[in-house]
Amino acid sequence: MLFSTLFWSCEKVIELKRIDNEERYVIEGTITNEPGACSVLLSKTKNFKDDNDFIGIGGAVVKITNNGVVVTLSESSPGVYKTNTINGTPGQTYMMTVNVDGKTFTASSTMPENVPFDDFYMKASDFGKSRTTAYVKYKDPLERQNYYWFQLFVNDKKQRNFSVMNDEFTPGQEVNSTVSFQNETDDLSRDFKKGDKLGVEMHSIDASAYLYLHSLGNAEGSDNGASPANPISNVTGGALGFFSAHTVQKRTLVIP
Amino acid sequence: MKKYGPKRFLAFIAILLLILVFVQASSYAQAPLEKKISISLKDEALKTALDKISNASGIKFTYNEQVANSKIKISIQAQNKSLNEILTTALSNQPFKFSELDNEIYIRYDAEKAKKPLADPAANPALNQEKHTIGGTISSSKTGETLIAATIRLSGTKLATMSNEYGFYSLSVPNGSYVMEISAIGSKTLKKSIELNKSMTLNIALEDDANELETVTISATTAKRNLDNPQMGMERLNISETKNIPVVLGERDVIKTLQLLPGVKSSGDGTGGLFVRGGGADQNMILLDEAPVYNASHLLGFFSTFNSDAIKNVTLYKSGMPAQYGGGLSSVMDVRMNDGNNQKFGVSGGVGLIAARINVEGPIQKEKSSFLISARRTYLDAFLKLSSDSTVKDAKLYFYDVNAKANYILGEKDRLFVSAYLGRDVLGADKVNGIDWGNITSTIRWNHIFNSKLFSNTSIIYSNYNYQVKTDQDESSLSLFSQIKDWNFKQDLQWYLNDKNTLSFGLNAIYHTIKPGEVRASGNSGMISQDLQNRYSLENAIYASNTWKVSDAFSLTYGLRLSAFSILGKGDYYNINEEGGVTGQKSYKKGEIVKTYLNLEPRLAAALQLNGSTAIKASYVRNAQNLHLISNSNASSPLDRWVASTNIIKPETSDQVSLGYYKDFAQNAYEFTVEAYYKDLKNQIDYRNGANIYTNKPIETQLLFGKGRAYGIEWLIKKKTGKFTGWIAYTLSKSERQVDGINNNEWYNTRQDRTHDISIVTMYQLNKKWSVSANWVFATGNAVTYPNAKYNLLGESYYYYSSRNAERMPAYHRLDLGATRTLKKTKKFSSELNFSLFNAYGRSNAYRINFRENEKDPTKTEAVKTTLFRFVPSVSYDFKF
Repeated sequence: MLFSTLFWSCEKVIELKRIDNEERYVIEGTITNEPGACSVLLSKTKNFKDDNDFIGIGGAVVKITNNGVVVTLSESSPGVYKTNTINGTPGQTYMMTVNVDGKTFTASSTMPENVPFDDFYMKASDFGKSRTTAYVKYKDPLERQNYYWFQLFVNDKKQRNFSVMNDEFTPGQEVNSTVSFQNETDDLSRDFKKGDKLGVEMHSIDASAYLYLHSLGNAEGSDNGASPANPISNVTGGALGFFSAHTVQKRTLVIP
Repeated sequence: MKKYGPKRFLAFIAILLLILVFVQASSYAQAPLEKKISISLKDEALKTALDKISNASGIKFTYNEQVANSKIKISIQAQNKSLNEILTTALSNQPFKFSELDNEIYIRYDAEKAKKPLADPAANPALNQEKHTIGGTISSSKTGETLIAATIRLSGTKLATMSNEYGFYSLSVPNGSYVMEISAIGSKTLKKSIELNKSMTLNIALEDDANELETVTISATTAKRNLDNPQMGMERLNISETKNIPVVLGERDVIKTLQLLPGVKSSGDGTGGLFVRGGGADQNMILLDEAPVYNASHLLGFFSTFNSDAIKNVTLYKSGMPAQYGGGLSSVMDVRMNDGNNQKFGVSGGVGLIAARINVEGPIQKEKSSFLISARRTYLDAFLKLSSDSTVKDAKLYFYDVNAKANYILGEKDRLFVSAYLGRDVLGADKVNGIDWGNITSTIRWNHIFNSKLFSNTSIIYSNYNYQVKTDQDESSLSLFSQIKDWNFKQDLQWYLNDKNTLSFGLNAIYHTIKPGEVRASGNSGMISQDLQNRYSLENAIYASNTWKVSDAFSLTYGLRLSAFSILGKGDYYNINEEGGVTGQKSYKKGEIVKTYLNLEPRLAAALQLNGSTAIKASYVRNAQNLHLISNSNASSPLDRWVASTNIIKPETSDQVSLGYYKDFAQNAYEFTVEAYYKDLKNQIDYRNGANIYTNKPIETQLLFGKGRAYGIEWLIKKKTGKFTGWIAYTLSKSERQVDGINNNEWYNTRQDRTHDISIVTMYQLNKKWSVSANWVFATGNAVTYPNAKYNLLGESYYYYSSRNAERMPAYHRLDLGATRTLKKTKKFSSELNFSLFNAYGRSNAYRINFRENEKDPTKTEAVKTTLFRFVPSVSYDFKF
């Protein structure tokens, strides 16, 4: 917030005692239109003081059903379930079932038609050391409601930031929309410089995945007091996370 | 548990305070009539007898020539008897009566007693009880400003009244001669002899209290709190009372001062919300010269929209709102502007660290008409230009506001007021993005005095709040405009029927037009310009209320407000299922009624005076609110969205009961009040989890509805006179919501829930030149939601939240210091310097606490506290000529 930085704001790391919470399962399921890209990650919530590394939960039975065909995913490493027998196809609905420790979690997602990712570009004037903006360009199909998920990369490293869009205000239009790359840390070595490679992965997602990602982006609430809330998951059975069948296109550019 | 530690401690303090108060009360309160003496007199002339009693007791008597020249002789034999007993016996068969008048005893001729031997009053009450009415307007002799809430008391009787918002008063009394005592905050008390044998109009001009300008303390009025009036839950601030209270950046501010009173809270540093008795920021009906102000803050809450130069008086009703007010669940804040000096031309102003003010007022035609123009602007942006950082340099950050008013005395009985307010905030982060917002209000009012008993006010009011957000990029631009606009007609009548009954009744009609959003887009962004449908509604109300003085000790106000809210076409209205999906739609033509909500709002209040200085009061009030601020933020952002009730969004209602105890002691130098309340709220609105605020779907699809409750106890002890003035306020309270679909359908704390809230405000007049002040506030931290766990998703760490607002920010406390140095003080010119230091001991109060990965070790999560203000000094220079 501009105003707070102008005045005498200061930040300080503090100790907060957090009570440990009951554990919840966390599922991240994805199917894309790229060959063999179908994976389900299974983990659990962690206590606040634990580290942030992914600790997978093994021994679950994970199945994907499409048009009556059931595929059981195999566990490639603890908590990581994969198959390369499914080639995601736009228009198809996929059903995910996870059985673990006597519990069953299910979710379904329909892969939308692919919307071509026409361009990814930036103007020299949009370059900033701590914040650089670029544009994504695509033509929204008028016939249906569309949802987009843009995942950002810097020098091929996936960023925490992502951007989701819908076509409520842009139905059937050619869209040029900004995506912003930010260094939100105080670490100056992470600032942007000329020659850095920026990347965007464009996903066409369905409404339930959009709702999840949109609410994930707002989960921490806002500065001025919007209450934090858990994102709205499309997984039933009480697990956190989401399941999305989506298309993938990637474009990159080099900061001029 | 540790967090309950302070609770016990504070409860202890509260009890201690209570005990202290009663100890004080008993030691101070010796009234002149209670004084005991021994005396023996035989057949002394009345005057001589009184002189002797005076010598023996040290109590002075006040009387007129009639008493002094009286031939009556009296005898007294008393051993350690109170003056009350002595005088009762001595004057029992004489045509005189007596009563306390401040610290003296007032003796006067009693016409009724004189007639007693001739006819028993019961036999012919009409003759003896013949009553007449005295009424008129009370104003300041220096400026001609009408005085609100001036007390008019007939010495030696229990008859008293108060002037209304336009300075009008009316009092019905039996024939006779009286000494009328008129007092008002900031004015010298005036005693005036009147002989009443017919109804009459009496306009009274009070002289300013010379001291007042200098002392800048709570005025030295000895007027009692209105113990006999059933009105409770009310705080009235004369603007001079706010003057010496230190605030951030030195701009004095009525809202910041109100926040130091019990039951009124702020949401923390750098935010503008005002929370009354656990209600939301939008549940306050804020009126400026009767026009609703939809956003009462500047610069995201650092200042209120009320320029103290232009403000006369602020009345805040926390409960027992009079029937003339409606539309706000939690409170009514009635702000009245100055009328403008009709005696002489004057200029005043001030220069502070970030803002400057100027106020010009004077007669248009002396004693007949006057004007006032008051303006303010911040010049913080001038400093930003000096910055070398381009983002700061290009930032826009300022507000300005202008208050203007004119009034005309059209004749003995008519007065016309025209007032207007315009305020705007402009905030821009860089060249391309910006928001600006502001209120415009204007009011035309006509006061008509039908006779000394019937007062009428007719108002036509226009009110407009709007904001605009803009983004301009090389190849595209986007703007969003939103507005709420009201046309408002009000007719209020006050009928001082007789000495026992005061009626008020009237009607109100408001036509609201809400423009939820106009999106204007150009360029290649693909955004399509579109308008969300305007929403039209008509809000009508009629009300009647009577204050009935049942006996000297007991009075009762009973009233009813009937409000009708009609949603009007043109527009589409929807049916929505539990999941927030649209299941149907109906289009209405222009002017067609979509739905009308009727609400009966009873207003009941009673006061029982236990003795001359103690009263208990109780009240019940229902309020309905049809304009809702859809916001889950607590900072009242300018972009919050106002919506009117629809077929889905039902009127919010509240039922509040409250009970209070009031005591004046030490010759009214101190006042002590305790009020307890319980509020039941219905149709409360919150966002669905995962709601999209920026959507063109019907807003109802993003909302959930539930109920709320708020309860608490408020203590206030105030020292009103002397060099040292101030108060201690303590509130113990709870505020909760229950909304299906949020927090597993269980009750949760509202963000503004504060268990403990303490304010200590002190002001001390050192000498003629210097006065100093200090206030200290303590409050339980805001109720917030902290994560209880974390999880890994998309290769990043995210947080898991279990229950809403179940955690607390660290307790908030802070000390502010202020000092005022009078530089020059003559009749023609006065000036002073104000110094203040906000957060004098530099407490790092949490503005927010958020969670992030440690930058050095991303596998670890840390909590980060952001603090806004520590040690903020300021200085300002004020002048007046």
